[in-house]
Amino acid sequence: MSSPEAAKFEVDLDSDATEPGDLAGPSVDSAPDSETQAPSDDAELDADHEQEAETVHELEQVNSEEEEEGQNDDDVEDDDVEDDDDDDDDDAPRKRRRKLRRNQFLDVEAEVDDEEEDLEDDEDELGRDDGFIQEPDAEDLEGAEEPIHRQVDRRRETEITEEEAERLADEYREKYGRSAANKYRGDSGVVPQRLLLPSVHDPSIFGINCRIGKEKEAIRALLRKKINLQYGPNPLEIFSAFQRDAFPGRIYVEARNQKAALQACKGVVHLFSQSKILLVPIKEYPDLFRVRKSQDTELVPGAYVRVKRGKYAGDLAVVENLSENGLEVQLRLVPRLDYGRAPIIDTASGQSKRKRATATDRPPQRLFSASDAGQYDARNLQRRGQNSYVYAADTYENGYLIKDFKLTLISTEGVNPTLEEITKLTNAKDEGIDLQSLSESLRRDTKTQAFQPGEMVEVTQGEQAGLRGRVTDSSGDIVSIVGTEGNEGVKVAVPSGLLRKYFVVGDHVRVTAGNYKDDTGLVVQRSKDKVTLLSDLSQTEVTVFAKDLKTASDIGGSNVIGQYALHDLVQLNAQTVGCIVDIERERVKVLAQDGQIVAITPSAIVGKITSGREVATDKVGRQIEVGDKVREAGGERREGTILRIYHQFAFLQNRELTENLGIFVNRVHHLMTVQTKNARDERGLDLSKMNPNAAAGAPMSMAPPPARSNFNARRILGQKVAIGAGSSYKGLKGTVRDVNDTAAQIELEARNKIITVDVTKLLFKSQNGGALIPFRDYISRPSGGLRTSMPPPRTPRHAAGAQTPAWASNNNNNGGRTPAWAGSGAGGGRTPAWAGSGASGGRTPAWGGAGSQTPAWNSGSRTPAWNASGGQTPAWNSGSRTPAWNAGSRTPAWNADGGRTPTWNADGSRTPAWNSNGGTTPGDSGPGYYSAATPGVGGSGVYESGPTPGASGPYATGRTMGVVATPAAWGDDGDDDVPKYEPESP
Amino acid sequence: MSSRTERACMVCGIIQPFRDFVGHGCPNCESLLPFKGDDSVVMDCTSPSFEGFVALCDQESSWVAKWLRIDGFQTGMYAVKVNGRLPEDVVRALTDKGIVYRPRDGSVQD
Repeated sequence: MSSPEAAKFEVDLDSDATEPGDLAGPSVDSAPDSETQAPSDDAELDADHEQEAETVHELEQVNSEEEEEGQNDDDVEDDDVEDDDDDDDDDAPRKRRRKLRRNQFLDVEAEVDDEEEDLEDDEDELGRDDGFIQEPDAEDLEGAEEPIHRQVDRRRETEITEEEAERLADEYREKYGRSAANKYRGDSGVVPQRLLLPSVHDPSIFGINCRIGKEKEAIRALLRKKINLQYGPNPLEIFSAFQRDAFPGRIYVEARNQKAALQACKGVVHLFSQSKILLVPIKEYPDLFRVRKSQDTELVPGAYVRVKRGKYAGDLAVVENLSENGLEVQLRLVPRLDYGRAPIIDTASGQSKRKRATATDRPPQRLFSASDAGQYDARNLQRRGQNSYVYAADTYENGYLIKDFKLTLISTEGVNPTLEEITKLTNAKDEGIDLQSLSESLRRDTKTQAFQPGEMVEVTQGEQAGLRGRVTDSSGDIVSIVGTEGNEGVKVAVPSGLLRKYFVVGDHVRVTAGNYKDDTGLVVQRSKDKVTLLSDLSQTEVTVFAKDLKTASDIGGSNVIGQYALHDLVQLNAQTVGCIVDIERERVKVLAQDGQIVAITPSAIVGKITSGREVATDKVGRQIEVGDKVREAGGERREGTILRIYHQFAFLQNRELTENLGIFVNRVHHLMTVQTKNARDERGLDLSKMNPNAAAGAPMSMAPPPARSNFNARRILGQKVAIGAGSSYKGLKGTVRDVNDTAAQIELEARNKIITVDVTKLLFKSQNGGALIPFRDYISRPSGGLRTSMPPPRTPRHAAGAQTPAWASNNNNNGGRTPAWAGSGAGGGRTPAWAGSGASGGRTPAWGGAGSQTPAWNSGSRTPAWNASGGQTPAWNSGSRTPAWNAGSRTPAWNADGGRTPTWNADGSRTPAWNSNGGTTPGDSGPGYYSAATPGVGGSGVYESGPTPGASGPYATGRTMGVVATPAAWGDDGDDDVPKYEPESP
Repeated sequence: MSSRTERACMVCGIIQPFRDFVGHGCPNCESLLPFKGDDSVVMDCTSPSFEGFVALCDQESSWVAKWLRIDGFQTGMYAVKVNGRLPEDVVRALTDKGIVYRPRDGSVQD
């Protein structure tokens, strides 16, 4: 019996082994069953019965146990029942129990594990097990046979395990579903990203140009292509492809080489694979994947946002709440409801159809009214609580709409809420405006809000809240302020976001942003962030945010729009002219000649009237012109100053009237002269008017030309001039093209433009070049250059000593810029040498007064002789007191010195010339001499040209470059010759 | 909401139409989050707001996959950044399963 059994097994094994193809087939599943059934078909039915009996017995035991458990817990029982059902389906428990039983017989091999995965393997063994177990029943097991069986079993086991692995996997998938097959394989995040940084072994990333906006499509196409070709002959050798919204017009492909990337991109629409391909440097890989947390999720309740689309597009809203996943926000808005009152009839179907409100066609903002809703559309109204309603599926609380919006539907940047909106959105009476949240949402917009030194500010948050102070400095986001109003001396640095500008009533301010930009006015009221001001222009009260204000010294608003300015006379149409009385942001208000106010856009103005004869005669024939004060002869008898005259119409202004900025219009013959401008000769009647010819024509044409002033205009005509201080064109040069009493037309060199400048602001070039002289000086001279008005160099000896540039420049008349020089003797507080040196500036730092370089000069205390302020060197300071210096001619020694500077250098202190000089001029011999004389000559020489370094030696006292050149000269002396140079000398 | 609307799984970042999440679940996270047939789970745990499309072709060799921590996942389309966060209870459930939830909305940098 054993041998056929064994043979049967052999056959089975062979069939299994030799027909692996069956494994994949459906018949395979039945194979174990047939195996398990095989023995029972044979003569060993009794054995099988035994098994079954035992199994049943065990089942009963189990069931009884389960029942006991079930008494305790119904749920458990249910589960167990289900399990039983499953067991019946799979026939698993039997097998398990068989296995259990078998375990009693078999050794380690059989008790390997009781995991479910191995159960299948065990199933495969079952048939063998059955046979194996049955053997002892059939015949005595021979010791020699067992190893063979075992070998066979083992061989078979391994073979089956390998061959059927796939099938088993399928079975598992079927049996245990997703949990086994789709085990989550994501990492647990324990590897920090820095360990994932790319290396040279990683594939390259190529950037490929793409049609902008089609990046995602291209990526999808690439993925499809990759999948389609995956198992073809030429699979794409790319590892990934990606795009980022931050890099528009480009996609990236990860591949080993460019060829692979190109191959992938070939034929994909929207990709420009022909154009240049960018190889991304390895270092920049992570940058491609930088993920910045979006601003959206930083929203906090209370922030102000705007709705992007739909009925409420553009409306301001307050964030009430944020959804858990951060994708939706609950907003509070002012509803736009019509309560179903605007059904429109669809003409096609004839049915009444509710039109969907759009951003362009929507009801106005109005708080929710329960009574309206109840009256017009009660069906959709549902009361939730006090002041809380549900209407048409939306919630309304306290009149506001509370609604969830997707984050993508709201914009958080550039919200810039206006005061009106906020007032509307905030139940101002109940809660007031939440300044905190307001400033929060304004913060983004005011990042660049500049606090300028000197401005008054108030701290709004933090422990210093309420502190008022003056801005002393601002760097970046930090503003340093010094406290005022009781906090004097308190210095704090505050982030600019926590500050607001602070104004007191009476401040004159200018609006810097918003609807009222450029308006100016007086602050009349202030409450925290809001400031009410009385506009200078419109005389109305305007409330703006303090942040939009700055103190202003001037009055004005935006007085210009395009080419038109306030008070311009403009042509409205062929018959009508008008005067611009108000300029708003996008339009102008024009007072037409008929007295009507026309508000039009600048583009609707035909043109500006610039060249009108603005002269007329009044009711009694007196000449009136712009600027004259007149009164209406009838009507309201308003007085006004003539602003414009156009033919028979005069535009008048009276600042006491508020209407139209006080501008009104009337016919000239309805006006009576009150006072003429400049008090023109009043002779009752205008004679020119009596002459019919003149009256018909230009009244002024007969008038005598105005008296010329006493300068010859022709003299400056065609002159090259510079424009001096006092004009906005200061510094520009040009040619005089025309000139009259007071003004000259200058053709600018720098710009192709002719401007009119007050003649007194012109600067003329002197004939010998160089200095510019003002108009008054220029015309006061007879004809020539500056020389005549300039004193000639009266110190020829100084001129001889022209090695000192200061003097030399004097020689060239450049000294004209230093009047002290010009009137050498009359030198004011400053000696000409100083002036000259000062002009040369950086070249002679000591002289220029850039003290640090030559401390000796700066700190007079150390070299009192040099000290300009010190009285110790009177000769030097007030040159007049050192005759040698002032009148150079009287100190021949000086002249000689000037010429003989080398001697100075070579000899230093002992120069006989010096000695002799000292003898002749007491000033020279005394300390004053050196101090006085040498700076003028030696000092400038050293610093500027350096021909007399010796002189500089002592002054430099080893601290300037002069020292090296002439240490021996003075420094070595150190004796009686130079006591005055010693620092401790008086 | 249209069933065609694409959403990105907040756990693995895969991008699929809504109906696919409901119909087939997330190919990577189904063992963690039972998307299949459950609209509310899909709504909660996937986001319609995402940025950066990555076509994951070869997760074994791709550095991009490694960097984005999607190298263990199925081939497909992934998002670099997924806006939104998993609900707290889901995060807790994941933690209990030993999964560290790493938000893909850019709030966690390492």
